[in-house]
Amino acid sequence: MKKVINAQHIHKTFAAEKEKVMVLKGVSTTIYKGEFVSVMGPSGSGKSTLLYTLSGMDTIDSGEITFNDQSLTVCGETELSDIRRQQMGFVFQQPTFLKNLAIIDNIVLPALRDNRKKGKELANKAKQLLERTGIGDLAYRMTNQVSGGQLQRAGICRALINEPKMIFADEPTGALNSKSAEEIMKNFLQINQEGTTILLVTHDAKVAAQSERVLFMKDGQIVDELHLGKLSNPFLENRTEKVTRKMLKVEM
Amino acid sequence: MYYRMIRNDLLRNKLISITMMLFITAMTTLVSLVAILTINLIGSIDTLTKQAEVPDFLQMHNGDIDTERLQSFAAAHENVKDFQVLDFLNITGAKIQLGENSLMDNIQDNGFSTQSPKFDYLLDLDGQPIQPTEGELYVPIGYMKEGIAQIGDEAKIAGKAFQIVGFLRDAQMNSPLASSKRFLVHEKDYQELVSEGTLEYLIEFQLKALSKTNEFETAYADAGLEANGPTLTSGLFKIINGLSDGIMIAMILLVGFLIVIIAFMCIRFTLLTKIEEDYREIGTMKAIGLPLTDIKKIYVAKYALLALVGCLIGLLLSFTFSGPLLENIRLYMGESDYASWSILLAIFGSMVVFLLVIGYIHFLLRRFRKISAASAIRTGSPEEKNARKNYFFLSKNRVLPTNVFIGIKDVLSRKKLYATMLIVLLLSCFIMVVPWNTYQTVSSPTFTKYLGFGDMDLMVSMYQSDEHVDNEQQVVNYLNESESIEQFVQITSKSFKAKKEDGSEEKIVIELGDHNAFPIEYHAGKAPEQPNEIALSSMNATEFEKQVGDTIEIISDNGTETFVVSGIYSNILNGGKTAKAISSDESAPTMRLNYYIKLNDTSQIAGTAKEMSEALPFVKVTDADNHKQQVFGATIASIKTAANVSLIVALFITGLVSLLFMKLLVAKDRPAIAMLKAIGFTNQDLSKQYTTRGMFILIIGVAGGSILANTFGESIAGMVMASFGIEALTFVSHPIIYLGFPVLMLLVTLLATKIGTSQAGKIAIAENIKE
Ligand SMILES: Nc1ncnc2c1ncn2[C@@H]1O[C@H](COP(=O)(O)OP(=O)(O)OP(=O)(O)O)[C@@H](O)[C@H]1O
Ligand SMILES: [Mg+2]
Repeated sequence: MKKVINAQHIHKTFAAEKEKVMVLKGVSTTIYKGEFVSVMGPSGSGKSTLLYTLSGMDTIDSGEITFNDQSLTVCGETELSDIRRQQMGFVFQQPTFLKNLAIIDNIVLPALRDNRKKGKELANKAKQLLERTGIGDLAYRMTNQVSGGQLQRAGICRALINEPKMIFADEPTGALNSKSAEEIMKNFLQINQEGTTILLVTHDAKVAAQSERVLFMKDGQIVDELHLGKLSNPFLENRTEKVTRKMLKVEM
Repeated sequence: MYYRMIRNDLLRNKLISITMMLFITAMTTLVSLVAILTINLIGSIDTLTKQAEVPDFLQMHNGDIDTERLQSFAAAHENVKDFQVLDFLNITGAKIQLGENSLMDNIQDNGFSTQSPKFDYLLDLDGQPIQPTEGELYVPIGYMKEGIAQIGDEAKIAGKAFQIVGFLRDAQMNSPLASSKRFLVHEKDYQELVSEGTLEYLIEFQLKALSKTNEFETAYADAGLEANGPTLTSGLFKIINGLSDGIMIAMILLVGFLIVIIAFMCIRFTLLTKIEEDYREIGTMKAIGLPLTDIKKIYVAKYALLALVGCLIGLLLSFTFSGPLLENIRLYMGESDYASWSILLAIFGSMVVFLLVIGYIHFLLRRFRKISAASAIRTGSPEEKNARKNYFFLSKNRVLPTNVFIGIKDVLSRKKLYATMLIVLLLSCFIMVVPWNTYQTVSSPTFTKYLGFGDMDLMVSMYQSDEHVDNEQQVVNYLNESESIEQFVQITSKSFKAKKEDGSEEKIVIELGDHNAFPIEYHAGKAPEQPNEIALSSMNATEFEKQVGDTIEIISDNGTETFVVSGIYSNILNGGKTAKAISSDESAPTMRLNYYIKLNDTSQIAGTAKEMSEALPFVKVTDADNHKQQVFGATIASIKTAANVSLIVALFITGLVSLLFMKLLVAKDRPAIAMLKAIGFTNQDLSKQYTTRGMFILIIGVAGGSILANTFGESIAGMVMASFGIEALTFVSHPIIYLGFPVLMLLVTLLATKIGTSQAGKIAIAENIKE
């Protein structure tokens, strides 16, 4: 199987007030094409940091990260930007948008930068994405005129506009109620079925249970892993239970 | 604890703190400078006037004089306190050699005299009347300033040797704007020179009641006494003495005023941004029940510290700058009696600035009360409302590059935020353009039309004398025959009386002739065309309380004739009180004959002038351009200095405010920047977006500023000029001002934007996105 991300022995320290804090202590992991992987772990264990370093948004002190066989550690800022824009998609916990652009404009934004002439085409594509995530009629609203859950779905549409190879999501359901969270997860599953690789950080066992593999982090290291397999037969109760039990074990 | 918090805050926002302080410094410097300069100028003029005991009324006279008749007039008139006639021995510049320099090309009427016995003293640089000994020569201070004469130099006056031992202040004729200059020699030397020049007289009166100067002037004219020359009063001496420095002060005042506005806008902007940043904290403190006065105290203390330091530095700077700026005033007029007052006033001004800043901050902090704890914690600071209808969709845009579109869109949708920078750039542009346009206008050849004479090349003038008729014919013949003259017109100045509104009669000098040949600027109405029309200088119009269309009765030996006022014009020379009409009344006495001349070839002005003065030794030939240069040179130079200072100040403000603004903007937009970077926008993209914002505002600001400068600025400059007697000023500009200056601003803004937003590239995505 083709590796989308291959990380070896990554170390990352932050310089806090006076002493240095090592947040990633030699993390190694591989994510394969088409996988849906989630990351769990106690607060402060380094989940977000892992996500941002794997996507090249944050630098690492040592180790090696490749994305589609391309080493991210040797890339310059601009190259990293290009990779992020063209091959990656991001969904944040707090959906951040340019407040003065309409939703549809925010969605086409990353694509338009390279294809200014294709505004119409891209707008159509964005509308399709919005339809698919169920908010097709909100395209021309401003970002402060829709609900948090709707905004998060718009965020997913933006992540998808460039047909990325991989999507990174940091607690995408963290700020949502359970109903909205369920709908968002449906969106993710559908995207994954269509072939996009997903790496998702979450605190919610129910969310993690829908992915095919769960990584457990503790104190800057991946300490355990749970293979659930594709969500083909829905023994969801069972899956969630498994994740919860593992999580408790890790936290002990 | 407060101390630590304030220190940390100041250190963390170093650039912003320094910028705020610089603005307060600039504001204080200018306010205090204006105070110091104004007080010293007024003080020096007053001191000089007092020390020299300037006459309240002065009639210059060229020709025979009947001293006894004058004496009895003075004795009989109730308002006369003192009276004297001084000699003014006019010697042509060619006969005056000061060290290496000859005064050949000097346009001044250079005259020699002895120290006055009673009043109108010529003073040394300590303000004491000078008593020269034989062989000593005291030279007008202006020649020292121009570097024409030096102490110790040998001087040759009409072949007689003198030693230059000092310079003199002359309360009447100090200014380059006064057309005569007095040299001082010993009585005995004077007698030896008498045969070398033409004698003119200064008939001088000191009055008991200054308010009745006009009545005295009329009485003097009524008495038919010697009046072959300009009439001047003490008020005019003061204006002439103060003009050049006054214009400079006026410009500093204008710039200072705008800087005060800009500084307050920046304080407002910075403070509001800071409050927005702290919004949540303030809400939290409110929620947990801490008194808001505590937070307020921190804010106020911080700005009070900045304001205090800024004011102190500003005050010191103003003392430093006032030295060189006062140099001219000190040199020409000496120390002011009010010097200590000026320092007190400067300190007082700085204190006012300080209190204003603090007061303004208190005023701005009122909005603390409006912060609702609940909403502050839940939603953070309120953004500008965006619910307005959206007309420009990025996805529908086909024209602009995406980054440019985002930049412009941002400006358009956060107008309130960008308004600050826009107004500052607009004012900067204004500060840049108005003084330069004023300078261009004043230095342009057409400026003379505001001074009461048209755009001529040469002027030939002669005072009335016994050989008058012969001479007149000789001049006319010469001018008619000369090949190089394209056009000339004869203007005769005659003295009449006119009825005022209250029925009293007052002297009026009317220039008779064709006033359309060399047109001047009328700020109301037009030149006289009919025999019964008359144009008045603005001073006369005020004096007689006339407006265009009013009638005025002119009294001559032939009786009373009614004229209609056809126009009003500016005139600051010859005492400022003139009138123009076309009819020629043979009966009234001619005071002066002027010929306005236009040459075929303007490069021949100097040569023709020389030929003419040789061929017609009894006339005075004036080279109009050279004349203006010598008369207004100092004033124009001080306007130019002010214009240059304004240019630098404006560019400095542009840079500083752009920098401050961009820095605050980046801080404010941090989450959006992080997001854009996360979704793959490069640093260059961000840079383009911010540059677009800067440029977009700059373009609007420069356009607005230019328009404002040409309308409102013109009126302001006009008003300043009007206070010196020049009215209805229209700007003459130069392409550089409207092309070059914006380019300069553009470069400065670009640079400031680059530096101000350089931090944007360094914003760590992860830190600003993860909650
Ligand atoms: N910019 C920073 N400077 C210093 N320390 C940091 C910085 N960012 C994160 N850390 C530290 O790194 C550790 C890991 O942070 P990270 O945000 O990756 O945790 P997380 O697992 O995502 O936690 P959560 O579940 O609460 O989001 C924490 O202990 C945090 O204090
Ligand atoms: Mg996290």
